[in-house]
Amino acid sequence: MKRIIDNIWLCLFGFVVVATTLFLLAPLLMVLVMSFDGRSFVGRFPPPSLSLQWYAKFFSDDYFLDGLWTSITLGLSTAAAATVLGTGAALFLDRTRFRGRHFLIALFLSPLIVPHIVLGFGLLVLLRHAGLDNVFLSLLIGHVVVTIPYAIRIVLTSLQGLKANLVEAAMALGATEYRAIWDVVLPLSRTGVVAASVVALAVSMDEVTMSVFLIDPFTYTLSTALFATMRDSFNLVIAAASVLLMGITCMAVLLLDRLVGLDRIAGQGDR
Amino acid sequence: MAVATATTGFERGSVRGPLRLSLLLLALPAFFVITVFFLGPLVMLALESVRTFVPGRVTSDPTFTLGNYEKLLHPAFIHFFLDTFRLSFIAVIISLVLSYAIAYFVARRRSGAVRSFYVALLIGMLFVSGMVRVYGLSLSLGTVGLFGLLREVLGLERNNILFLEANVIIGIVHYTTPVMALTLLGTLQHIDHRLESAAQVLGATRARAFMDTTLALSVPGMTSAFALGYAMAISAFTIPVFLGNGIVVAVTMLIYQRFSEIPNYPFGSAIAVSLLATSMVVVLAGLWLVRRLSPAVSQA
Repeated sequence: MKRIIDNIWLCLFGFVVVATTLFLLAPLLMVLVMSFDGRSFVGRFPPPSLSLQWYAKFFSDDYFLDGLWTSITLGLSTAAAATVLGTGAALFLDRTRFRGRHFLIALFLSPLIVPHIVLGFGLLVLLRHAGLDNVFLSLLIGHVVVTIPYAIRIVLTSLQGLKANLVEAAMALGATEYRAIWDVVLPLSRTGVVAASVVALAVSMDEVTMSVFLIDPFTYTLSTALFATMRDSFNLVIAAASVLLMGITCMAVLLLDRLVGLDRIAGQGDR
Repeated sequence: MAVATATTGFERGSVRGPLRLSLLLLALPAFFVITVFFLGPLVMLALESVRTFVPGRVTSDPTFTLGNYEKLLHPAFIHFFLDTFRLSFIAVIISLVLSYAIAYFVARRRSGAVRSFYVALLIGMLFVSGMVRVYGLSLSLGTVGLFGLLREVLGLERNNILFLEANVIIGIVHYTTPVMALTLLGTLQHIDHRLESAAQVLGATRARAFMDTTLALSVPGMTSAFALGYAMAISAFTIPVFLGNGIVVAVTMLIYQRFSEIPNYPFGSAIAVSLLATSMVVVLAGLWLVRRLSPAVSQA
């Protein structure tokens, strides 16, 4: 009797795991397959013939290419700014102890829990009042705010993983504390710094909910272009663009795996 | 997330003197950006939400009013809030079950291809653009996918409300499951699986052994996964926009409409402040519950 119940339980568990895995992957595979659809309209899955026409359409459409260009320049600027600002803050938080330090860390991380729609609307109201009408700059400000927490957390974690005796050794050999930080701490935390900029770039490329408040018809990101196109029509150029975005995502994840190891992000368990 | 313990880190003494000052200077730019462009917008929203709306104008009248919040208490708006909370709740309960199963499955594997695959899948899902996921879901569930089939078989109406609500729920489940699974993975990896074996040796069924040991010990982790998922669910925007087909209206969409369709910044701000307050309460209540439920040490 116990064996039967156990087997039913195991089957049920196995079924949920397999079904969830398929459920998570299915929409992405759907996009991948449909982006090669040979039909000229959006028809029922599966496509009867395959072609690259939607990719050709994507790369000949200035609307999407302009968005892609803005996304790339914005993403790189965001990654650079968030990483520099975040590393500065992380060094300070790592090397000093003071009352209110935990409060300051909480403040730095709090953009993570505020809905982007609230941040977007708030930034819009603030920037209108301040009279800032440069769209790229507005987007950059918003994206830096939402990526700084990631940068601070990643760099801080990598700084905290450093061995204390390395700094002591540098200072025993005559280095000042400045030199110890500049020549020992920063180079050793460079994987953390690079990981932070990869994450910031990926988050910036994805962001849409906050960005839709800050764009105008002339300056927009690829994600917001997809947002606008999906609202108007339903064509498979979006599928082609999605596959390109997924390609970028895969590269970012592979890069992170090489840099810090995905298992370290997920936590290894009993340690 | 792995948290380094004090013993592996630097000598944690605070630096002093001019070095401390220059480190402070390094942190100031980030502090400035967060204060001005993160706290600033939230303060502006709070101020804007008590100003008077002037129809046909973008700038509002500075006369103080609570009218915008009063309007939120109208049954129609209460209804939107309740709908959002209800759909989010159903979705996150489902996510909790699915993510628990995945996390449990992965936590039992310390190494190997299966574990690497799942860790890559879960982290990869976090990075896949939200637009891509929503688009994939609307292809899979919409007229060219599952819904097209169902419509043929069941003769459903195009804007069947139950179907659209199910769509939105599925979208939220897809969005929250990977994050919740990673949160739960952190918890489950720290629970000794030998407890479960011991319970089985003593005669419990697998299910019973699981519930009395691992499940019972992971209640704090489940609570924080739930709070995180719920906060994500009520702030979701692209999911209800594209999967709800304009019939299912989430609170986030109300805010966007006050910007894009019927500009009314004071009222939009009042809705935004209410949404922010709700999600703060959810997160803080979650943290508080976790602290109450956890045995004294196992924080971190």
